[in-house]
Amino acid sequence: MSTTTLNRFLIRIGDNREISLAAFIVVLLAVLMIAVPSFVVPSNLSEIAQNSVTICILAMGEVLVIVTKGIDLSVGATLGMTTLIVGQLAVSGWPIWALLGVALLVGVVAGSINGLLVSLAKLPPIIVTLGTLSIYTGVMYIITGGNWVTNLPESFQRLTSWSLLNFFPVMVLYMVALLLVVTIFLRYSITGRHLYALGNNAGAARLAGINERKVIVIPYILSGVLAAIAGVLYLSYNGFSTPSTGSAANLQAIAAAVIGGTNVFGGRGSAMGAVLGALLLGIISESLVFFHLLAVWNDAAEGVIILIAVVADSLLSRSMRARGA
Amino acid sequence: MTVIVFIAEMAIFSIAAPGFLNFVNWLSMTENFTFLGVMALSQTFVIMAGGIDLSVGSTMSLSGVMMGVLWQHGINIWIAAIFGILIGGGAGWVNGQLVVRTGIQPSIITLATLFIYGSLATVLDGQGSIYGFPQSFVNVGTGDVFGVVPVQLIIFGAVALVFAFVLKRTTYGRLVMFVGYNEEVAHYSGVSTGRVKVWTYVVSGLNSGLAAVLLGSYFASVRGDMGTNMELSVITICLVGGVSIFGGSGTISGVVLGTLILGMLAQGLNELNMASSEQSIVTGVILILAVGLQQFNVYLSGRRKGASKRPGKGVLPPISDGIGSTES
Amino acid sequence: MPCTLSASSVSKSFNGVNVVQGVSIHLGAGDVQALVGENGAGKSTVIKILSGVYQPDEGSVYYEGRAVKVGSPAHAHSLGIYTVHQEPAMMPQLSVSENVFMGSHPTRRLGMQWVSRRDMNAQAASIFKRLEIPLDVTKPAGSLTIAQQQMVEIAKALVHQVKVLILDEPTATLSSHETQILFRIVRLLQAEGTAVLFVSHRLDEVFALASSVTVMRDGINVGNYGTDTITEADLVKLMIGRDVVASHRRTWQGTDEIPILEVRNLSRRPWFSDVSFKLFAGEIVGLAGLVGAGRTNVAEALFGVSPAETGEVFIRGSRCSIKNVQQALKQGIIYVPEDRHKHGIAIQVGIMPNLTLPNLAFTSRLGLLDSAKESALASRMVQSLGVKSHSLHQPVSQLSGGNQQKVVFGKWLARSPNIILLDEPTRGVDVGAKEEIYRIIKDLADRGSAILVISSDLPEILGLADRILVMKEGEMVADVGRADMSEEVIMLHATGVSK
Repeated sequence: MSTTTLNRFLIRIGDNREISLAAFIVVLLAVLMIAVPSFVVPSNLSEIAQNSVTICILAMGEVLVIVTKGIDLSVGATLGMTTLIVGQLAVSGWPIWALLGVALLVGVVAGSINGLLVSLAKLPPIIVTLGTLSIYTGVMYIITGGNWVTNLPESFQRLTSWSLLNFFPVMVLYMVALLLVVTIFLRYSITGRHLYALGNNAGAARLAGINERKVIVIPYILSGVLAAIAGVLYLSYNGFSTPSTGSAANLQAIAAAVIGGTNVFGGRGSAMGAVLGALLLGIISESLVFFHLLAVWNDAAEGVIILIAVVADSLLSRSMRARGA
Repeated sequence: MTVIVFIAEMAIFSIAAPGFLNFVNWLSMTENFTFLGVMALSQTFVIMAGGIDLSVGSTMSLSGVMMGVLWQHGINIWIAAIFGILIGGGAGWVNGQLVVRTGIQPSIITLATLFIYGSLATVLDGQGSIYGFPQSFVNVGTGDVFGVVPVQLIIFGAVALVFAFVLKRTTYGRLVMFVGYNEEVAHYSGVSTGRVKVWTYVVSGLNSGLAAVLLGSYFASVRGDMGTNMELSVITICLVGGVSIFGGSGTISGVVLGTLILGMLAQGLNELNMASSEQSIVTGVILILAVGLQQFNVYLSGRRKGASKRPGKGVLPPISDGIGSTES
Repeated sequence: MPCTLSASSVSKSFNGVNVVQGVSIHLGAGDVQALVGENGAGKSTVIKILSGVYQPDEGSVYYEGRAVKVGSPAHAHSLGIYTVHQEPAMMPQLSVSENVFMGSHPTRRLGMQWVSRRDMNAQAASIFKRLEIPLDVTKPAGSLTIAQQQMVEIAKALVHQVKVLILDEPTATLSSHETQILFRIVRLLQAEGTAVLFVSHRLDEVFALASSVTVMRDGINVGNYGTDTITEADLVKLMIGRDVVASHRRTWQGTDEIPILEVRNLSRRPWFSDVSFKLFAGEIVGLAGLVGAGRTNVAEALFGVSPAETGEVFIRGSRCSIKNVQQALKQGIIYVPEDRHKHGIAIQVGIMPNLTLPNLAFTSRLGLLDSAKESALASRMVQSLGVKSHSLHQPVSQLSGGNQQKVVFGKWLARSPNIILLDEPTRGVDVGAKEEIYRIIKDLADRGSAILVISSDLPEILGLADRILVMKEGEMVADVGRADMSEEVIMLHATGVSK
């Protein structure tokens, strides 16, 4: 009897991952407020939020790709590549609109390489993005010669340093804007729905007339573009970049997406969930610092969280199938 | 095919960098990459059985650091080394259990453990690197037999022979092949597919541990990040060596050649003053080309068999066409 | 004759086996035509040709008078030809309404086309309301029962302008209530001028719904008859088309008291329930029934692939539990599966390794393969079964269907099994090899194994079996002895048509 009530509880959580995640975050903050009062102050929370923005955006891109049963291991490298290219150009005085254009170009190119290899050459996404990850990382070293990019012009850094009404940090606003765009794309555009179709049942999708080859390129391009945008924001916010920027972001983005309810077998996921997942990760890693735990435990924590999220997901879908039959 | 690539590569480098093809020099260069080959040998089994192990680099770091830490606490270096290898096996066992029991893609599972083991290694290795190993130990990584053949190469060769033997001549090797080609058929024939797969991951972990010993003795030190990013090279070696990413087929001799090809490539590029970070571009490109070539071969053989093939029943596991029914 | 859709002398072969030969079929606007025939008669293949899944090797398809090449299901849709297949293909995590509208979402313009979930849900809800099917269209399709999913499949076709609706065994998964709903839909469509073609084994439905019926047998079109001009019994005779062949008949002389296998009240819902039967050593027992009756599920339960939930299994009188394949093998049970490419042999691998896979314990020593023993076992099997190949290492993909099937047999026979479960043993096998396989089966029985033969080929079952069990919709409905065995009797039990 207790298994069915547990099942029903799990199903209700699964049915609405975003709400449960939001609730969990609130509970976590409440606990932290009691344990470490100095943690839950607006200035600290605002900083956590702004620091999480890059992962939020990368995670949104991962959702697009994972929904189609794919994966993108190269997002962090695309982000890093963008920061270095844009950074060097910014230092040489390029105007902001041109810099944004370059960033978008980088994102599109990086994403298209992934997308075309997966779509036309039909190569497994894990191998393709493993390969492009190392290629883009190598490119990062070549274009900087191993040096950091610093001394960015004021005008560029000002992109992310102000707050609306002196309260809402613009970084967060940028993220919210992107969240809206991606959510609308996923929920309301025909292509967006086709992505879910391909991830659920590629055969049925093809029967419904969806051109798999054409559609499957799109999430990779979008993931690249989002990574590039995240790169611009990162560069502006932090004021510098190094040849190893973004190397940790790959796993974090995937972890955030998975925690946020994106099913690794494809067919389910939301951008909102990914953002909440990224925020949760951000809070956890910040609180580790507060508890005087080494930053290195971060990686382990993320790995464990991914495993828990992914295993819980598979248990959920198993109970959902049992309920259906 | 792989042999041709190898010969071509050697030719190119000996022209580009004089002195490259000095035999003794060549032999000692292998010390730089035999540890990768050791990991590629076990990765072969993992991939052949239909899985993948992305955590090999982190497992290697973890094993190496464990060995170092134990030694620092007074344990004999050789015993510490054995422990390190066993820890690697344990990490592999965890990977295997997770993959088999949850049914989740091995790429995701080993991606997560990549980070878990990696950060465990960094944590254990608190202060930086552990060094000062006894000379007898260091000789493993740097010594030569008859003054010419590196000990490491002999170890690699021995391990390769063992693996080749297991793959070709033991029941386990046969089962690995079947599970990779068609896991359902193996299951319907009474094979414990779960156990077969778990063992591939255990062995992968053990080999990562061995690789840590080799690398640790070569550099006479271990660090928490000694294995970072190794998985890319290891998987590329396997694919270049002819192991099919879809499972079932592959040869140890191919993987040995793959090790030599990629290892020498790195050495050659070093001689041409290419930084290792730039070399990763080359490795990435080779990885994609190798898989692309495999896919192309499959495409070609599909077309050769002609249009009369029963739809959906090809060499590749077909994507479900959504129309499930028996001929009626 | 004003034909909306017709196939003209189409033929189709797979792997050298002729499945459909020179078949012509004509569908006019407002026609409701049934397509009947035994399993293997070629009905599904004809349907797939008409719906663009297969291309005919010979012959052509005509649409509204013009020859067309229906290159894909999507192309068929653009012509107004919609097919509902035997099994629903759902997108389980998406809502019912989205499944219905995937590929043709209702949209609103706001600069560009955006999916309107509100319209989608509203339209889907109204469709199901009109059909009188209570369904929450916002639920994920994966949570529906198979019957409900099939209704969603039907709705998928109906949201479009359907000129031709093709249904392949539409009521196989439906209850009587949903079947009535389907009937109503078909009559509505008929009134609107849509042509309907449906494949069915349920002859009562054929007579209730269709104005004419086309009979297929062994890949050819035997004829088209008005449903008011032919009786059920005659229809069955046409489907079967031959006198019962007496040549294969065996006589089982067993005197055992205790059955080698006894099954009591075996259930695994919803696939089968309360199945009970006995097998005696040396018997060949047929297991007949329509596709979907649950026969393969029973076999897979006995073999440990999908163990039963309740019920008991007795081997030689003692109770045993079969929870996995290894346990089944230990009890001496083996299974030759229905789909040899999926479950029987690894086609990229050579003959010998396939033959020795379940026998490695015998052909190895301490985990080391003994190639001499392997070759010996393999040659023995190849010889005694008559597998035609030029080397033991030839990949089985190069063998003919019959020889491939013999390899599947061969890998098990080295263990001298007591209980042999065969599932469509001559599927995709040419006539010559069929006879050889029959000989092998009878040999095995003579040597004391008990054999259960699942087959949709009635003459085959009648020729081989000492008695025939019949399943229908998950239940065992008949145990037909030698005296009463005939194709008509079996068909009537399997379809539930009462005389």
